[in-house]
Amino acid sequence: MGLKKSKMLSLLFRKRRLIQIGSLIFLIVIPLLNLLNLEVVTGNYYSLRIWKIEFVDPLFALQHLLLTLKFNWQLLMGISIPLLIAFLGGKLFCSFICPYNLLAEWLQKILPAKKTNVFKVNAKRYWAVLIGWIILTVIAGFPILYFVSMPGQIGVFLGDLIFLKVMGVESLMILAVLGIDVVFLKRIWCRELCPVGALLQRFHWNYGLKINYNEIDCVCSTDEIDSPCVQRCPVYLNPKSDLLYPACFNCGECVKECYYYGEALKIKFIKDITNFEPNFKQRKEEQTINKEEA
Amino acid sequence: MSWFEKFLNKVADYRQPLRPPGAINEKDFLQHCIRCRRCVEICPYQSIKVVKSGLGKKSGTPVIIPRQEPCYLCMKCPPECPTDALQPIVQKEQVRMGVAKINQDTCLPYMGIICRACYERCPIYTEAIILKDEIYPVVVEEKCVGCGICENVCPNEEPSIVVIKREN
Repeated sequence: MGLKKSKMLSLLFRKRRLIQIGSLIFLIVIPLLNLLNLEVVTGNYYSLRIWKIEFVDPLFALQHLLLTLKFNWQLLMGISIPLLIAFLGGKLFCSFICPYNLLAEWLQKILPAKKTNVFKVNAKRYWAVLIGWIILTVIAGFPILYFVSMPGQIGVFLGDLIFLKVMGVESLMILAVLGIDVVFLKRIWCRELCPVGALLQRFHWNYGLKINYNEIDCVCSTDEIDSPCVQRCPVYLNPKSDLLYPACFNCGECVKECYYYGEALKIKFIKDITNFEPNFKQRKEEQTINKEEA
Repeated sequence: MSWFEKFLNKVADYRQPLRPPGAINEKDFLQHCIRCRRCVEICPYQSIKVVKSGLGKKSGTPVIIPRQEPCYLCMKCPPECPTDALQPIVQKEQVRMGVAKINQDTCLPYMGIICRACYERCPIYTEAIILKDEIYPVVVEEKCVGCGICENVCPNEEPSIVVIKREN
């Protein structure tokens, strides 16, 4: 049983790009189907209905609750599946479904540059940004995060373009965020700022799907920047550090890279949290001492 | 933009956007609606359009522009709404989107030309629009649902019958 589960997981992560492209195509297919009056699916990543199953972005259910102070059963049903996925797998939505992440990763491929730094995300700062966004909604008095929810904005841009043949100025937000984020700010949007991902991460279970680093198996460079896993990470994090969460969105790229080296990085359900803190710094210090002795 | 220009824009935009059937009052609607376009996509007639006002408060909300495409009261959109911005309504007679007003200065029958365009097309037939003296169309405000079909079919270039959003 355990073997089967891990095989399914590895298949899922190997087919990640395929799922991402499928999710982008899905956003184009929905308005086309609706143009033909086939009502099997409607909506986009703000709120989606596939046959009779409802999906709602938890961020928008939260905004609705804060603005109206009313519970809505349909919204509550809609957020149950996204929250279950977030509970088990963290921000899997970001790495597998979000079309913004796909575009950003492609743009990163077009503009290849060797990484010269990694970022450490302070958890307190991460949650403070989310709280800031939510306060902004309450001040604005309407769901203002509609403009900064990139997966939704890409969805409504495609939907309005195909279904109504209109374009809006607010769609320029996508280009602006994409350009500034990828070219100048090294993916800070997905790593720290995006409210959609942050709220999903809030529900990530401590024993859920996480990147697990086993120090003993690590064979390549212990250097922070030069390791293949660090070079592969789309959001400029160091998979070997203990400060990976809440910023990491579990795309599994570092695990795929590590497969060719020592298989020190694995993505799996954590059984014991204490195992999860590598003594990275200590090991580095030992190495420098050894060098000095030699 | 000077205050005068703002004032002019306000005058030109005096009509509140006509929301899909079942919509709650405008102030609450802007808070409840999550701008997901599901009502837009479910509409078989493409009657529901989207407000495109940049980064404004109303941006992304659904709107019906009767002169382009009126609401045919198929009642598919209210159950589609994931929030309660559109209250589920089953019967078309219960809809209160707006109310039609007739401009008697330009309406053809009042000028002596026989025209029954709005009277004949009204979905609440012979109840929401009645003919006074068999000639002059009159709107019964309690029965009018505000679907905008009358505004859509008015033969005048500038429609003589327009739907104004109800203030509820």
